[in-house]
Amino acid sequence: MNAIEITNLTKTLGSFQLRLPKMTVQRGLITGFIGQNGSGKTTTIKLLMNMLFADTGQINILGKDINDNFLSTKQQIGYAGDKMGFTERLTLKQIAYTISPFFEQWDDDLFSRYIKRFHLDLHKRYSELSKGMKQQFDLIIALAHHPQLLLLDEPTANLDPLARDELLEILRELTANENVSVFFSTHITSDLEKIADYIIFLHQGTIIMEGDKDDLLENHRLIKGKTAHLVPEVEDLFLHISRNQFGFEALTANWRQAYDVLGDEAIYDKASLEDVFIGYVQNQR
Amino acid sequence: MDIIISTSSDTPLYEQIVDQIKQQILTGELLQQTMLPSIRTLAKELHVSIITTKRAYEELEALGLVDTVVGKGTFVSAAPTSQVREAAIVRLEEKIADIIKQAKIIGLTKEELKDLFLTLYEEE
Amino acid sequence: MSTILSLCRLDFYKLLLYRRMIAAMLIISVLSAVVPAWIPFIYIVSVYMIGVTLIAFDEQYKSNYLYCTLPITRQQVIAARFFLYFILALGLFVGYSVLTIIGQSKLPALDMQFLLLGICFAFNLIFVGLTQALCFRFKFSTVRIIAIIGYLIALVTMSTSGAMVQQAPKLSGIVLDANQSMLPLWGIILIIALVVFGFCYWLSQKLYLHKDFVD
Repeated sequence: MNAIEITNLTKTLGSFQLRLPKMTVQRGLITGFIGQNGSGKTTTIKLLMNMLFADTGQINILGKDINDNFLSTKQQIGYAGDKMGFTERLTLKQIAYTISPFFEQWDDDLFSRYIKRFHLDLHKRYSELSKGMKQQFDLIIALAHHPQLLLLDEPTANLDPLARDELLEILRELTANENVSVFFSTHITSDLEKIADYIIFLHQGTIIMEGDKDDLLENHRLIKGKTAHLVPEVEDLFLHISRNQFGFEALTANWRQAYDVLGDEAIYDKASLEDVFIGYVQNQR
Repeated sequence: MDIIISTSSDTPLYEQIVDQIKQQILTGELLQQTMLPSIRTLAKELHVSIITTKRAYEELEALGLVDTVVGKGTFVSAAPTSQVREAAIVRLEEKIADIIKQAKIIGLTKEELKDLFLTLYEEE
Repeated sequence: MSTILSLCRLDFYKLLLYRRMIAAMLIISVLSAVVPAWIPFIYIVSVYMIGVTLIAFDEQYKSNYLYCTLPITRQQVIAARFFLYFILALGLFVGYSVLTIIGQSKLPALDMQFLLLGICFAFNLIFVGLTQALCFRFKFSTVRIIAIIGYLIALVTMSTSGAMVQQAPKLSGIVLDANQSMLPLWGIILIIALVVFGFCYWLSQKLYLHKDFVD
């Protein structure tokens, strides 16, 4: 059973169209969802939470179609996103008090521990918190009922580097349990480099690439070489080439293959996830 | 158990993990039936993807060096280390035979091959 | 049922934020025992304010997103809201009835007053029901304007008919004679109220069930 399985999903919102013929999020892994702003990440997650209804296609979460008794599945889902819908003028304590009765597995102890860990004051109103603290509280609410699937929409967007590390650490801790899956969307590639197991690239509403993070980072390299070496057979190996007056720089999906052709005439630099992502996006154009 | 991996090495991460655990098993540093850390713990500590550690353990199992018991964990194989080592040597012999064949096809002499071998051995 | 109650608790906490409004309402309500003729007006205004506040908060805080993340169905969200409206209208009806009885010495015709309260109960159910249903179809700002207009019309109508009641004891005398005939009148009022309220509930369910939340 996969954590999330999407088939033939389409959704049109104004001039934007999301088109996912197939998307799988495996259980027990941290799957990252990278995309530029407006690429459809939030739309996808909204569709998963039934905030939006798909035009076509099927979504299965934890083995069940979401159109068929989503209620029990939602007990297992923890969500944190841009719009939480909390009554912001209430205090954190009151928000937790009004929400906890809905979840069978709500754990007050766990909730308190996370609150302490993030140094939040339960008697403060949600509206009085900084953006970063609001995000931390959102995550705590999502985690406090022992969810099997965490759906996070840009969870680190407003966090300072230390807070971000803390959050990533928590996500890593959670996946020590093989029944917990995390699916999170972000445009901060360095976060995914740190903790993602599997990565999906989204661009203009479609998936342009996906794969195991370590695989992606091992096989893709930035090749820098002499312009003279750019013959058609060589260009075929590259996803995207940028030429300048001193040579060329290109992204390849298989550096060993490129090495067979160019040998030591070129330089094979490690590509960051951002480099890989940009390369694939440029390739689409 | 020490495992140190380098992200700047040309060797794939999972291979580095396999090599290091393999070495520790073959040299006896890791005793038979010792429980290895779970793939998740290993991934978390080494900051690599769970898919990578899973692949490493699968490779080690294919080599006969470890056994995975569902629900319990992964353990160093009960097969005597010397037997495992001998199996590894046999596989190495096959690879060497192939290299010799390739060298002969290219027309490399025995001396040239020896030199090449020694140079590369020093480098590793 | 516990889900419905938990949802009502969520709404209740939203209302608690408007402490001043609630305090003012309580004070005015109690004082109304002194001017019992005003009670029907106060009753309608109370229900309106609470109802519209809830809908306004939904709009402001985007509560719909929260409902999507909770393990509840959309049907339950609507059911809880309409349940709350019903309890509210009924509860306040009982409360204001008590206050009317307390101040009955100042009233010319008690059962006419009760009938008026009953009509207000019906009005409240229909009014908040419609407002809530319309909010799922049209923008809240538009609905609020329509609501206020319809509301003012109702208040004006009421004050004129209220004046009629006070100036025509003869009329109430006639009705007092045929005491039993009040029941069919009550019956008609309640049936109309429940039918329209039920319709609004059905309409809300229909509109909310497959609504996309885009913001």
